[in-house]
Amino acid sequence: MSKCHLCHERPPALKRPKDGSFVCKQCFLDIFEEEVHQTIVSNKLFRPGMRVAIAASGGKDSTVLAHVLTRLDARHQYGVHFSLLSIDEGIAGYRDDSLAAVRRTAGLPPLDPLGLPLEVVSHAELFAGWTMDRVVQTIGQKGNCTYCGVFRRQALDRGAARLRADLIVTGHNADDIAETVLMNLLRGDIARLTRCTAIVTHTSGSDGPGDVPVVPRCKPLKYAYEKEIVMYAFFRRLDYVATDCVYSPHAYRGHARVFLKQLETARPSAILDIIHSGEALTTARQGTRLPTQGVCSVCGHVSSSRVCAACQLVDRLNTFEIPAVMDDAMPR
Amino acid sequence: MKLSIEFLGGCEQLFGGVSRLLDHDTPLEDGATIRHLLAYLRDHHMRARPDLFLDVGSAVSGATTLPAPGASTEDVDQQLSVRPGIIVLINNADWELFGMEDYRLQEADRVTFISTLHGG
Repeated sequence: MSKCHLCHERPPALKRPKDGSFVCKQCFLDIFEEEVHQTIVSNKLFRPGMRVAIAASGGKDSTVLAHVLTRLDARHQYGVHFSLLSIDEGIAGYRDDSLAAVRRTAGLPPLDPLGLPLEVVSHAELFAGWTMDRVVQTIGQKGNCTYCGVFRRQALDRGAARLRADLIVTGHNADDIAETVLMNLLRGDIARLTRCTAIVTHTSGSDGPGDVPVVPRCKPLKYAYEKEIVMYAFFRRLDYVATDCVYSPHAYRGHARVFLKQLETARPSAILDIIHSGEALTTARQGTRLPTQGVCSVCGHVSSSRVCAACQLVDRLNTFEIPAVMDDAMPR
Repeated sequence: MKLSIEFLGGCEQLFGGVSRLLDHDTPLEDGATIRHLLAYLRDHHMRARPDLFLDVGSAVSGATTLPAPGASTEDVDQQLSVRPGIIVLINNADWELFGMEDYRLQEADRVTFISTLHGG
């Protein structure tokens, strides 16, 4: 059989989807890490002294991200302080298992601990006791992802503030971003289509009237194929969970995902090609203004409207509950 | 033929939570390919909907075409593959290096299925 295209010595262990080259396990681990390093350097994601929160779900992407960043930092001395940030949405049978995996990654024996500080922020503590289990009990399963998405977004911001983080890094990979490009295209959401490929996103415009600093987010695995992330985790024997959320059918994204995987089978470069198309659209549409940011009049968090999305949802949930409470109190 | 078969990354959920069949006796004989293994797994080990694991049709065209009416089981099995998004390793290396579904299994091979479609 042929040899690794990089070291020309060892037998290959992987065909790389981005260019079809054959690489051995050792060369793959090296080049995968170095490509993430190149993404970090060429986009100037880190500055010395920065405090960087790694959004950690316990799944494959964020687990690989935490391991790769820790290794790269030892090799290239970014001079940043890493910590892990997890959100507990309050979903029994899903988040409890994955949080246990994050705790093992953070530093509990026996599995190759990274020794990183871990902050867990729960929906229950931030949003008046509204765990996702309770949300679904109240409103049913339909539309519950809206609540979870809005709450988790804000919880990440608040967790980052507790950690005094300057940057949040997330595990979004090339497949995720290509999927999002496709979905925005199919929905005709041009504003999101031109924004979703950005490697760094700021919620707040720093020159807006309500000049509220929001921790920027970035995606160091933006160009990393899901297949390679999974292979990396396999070769390094990383400890991650692969359970799906018990409430999320992800209907539309699921279709985009299946379609994308089929495209990839026929033409592996399709994933990066779609990302490049999205990036080209961004350049073509520069100059569009995003809504300016102010603060929520209820909780004080950054918001583009008078009351932030999370407070509006909590308010809606609280009204939902009133009939149930009254029902109990009513004479039968 | 004895094989070791692993189901990881969420695949195990489709096999009743079993993640490893070590030194597992299969009825497969010399000359059997991955396609034969897939048919065997479908018929004897799958505990959930086969369409979540298997793909019938040409993997190259990416089409999940249904078999023609009246197609024999053998015709269908000759087109069997895994669903796009499931990674297959043969002895810890990418099956794309070895001809994918057409790889001829050998005694004591380790075949690993890893789903990329779950969690994250």
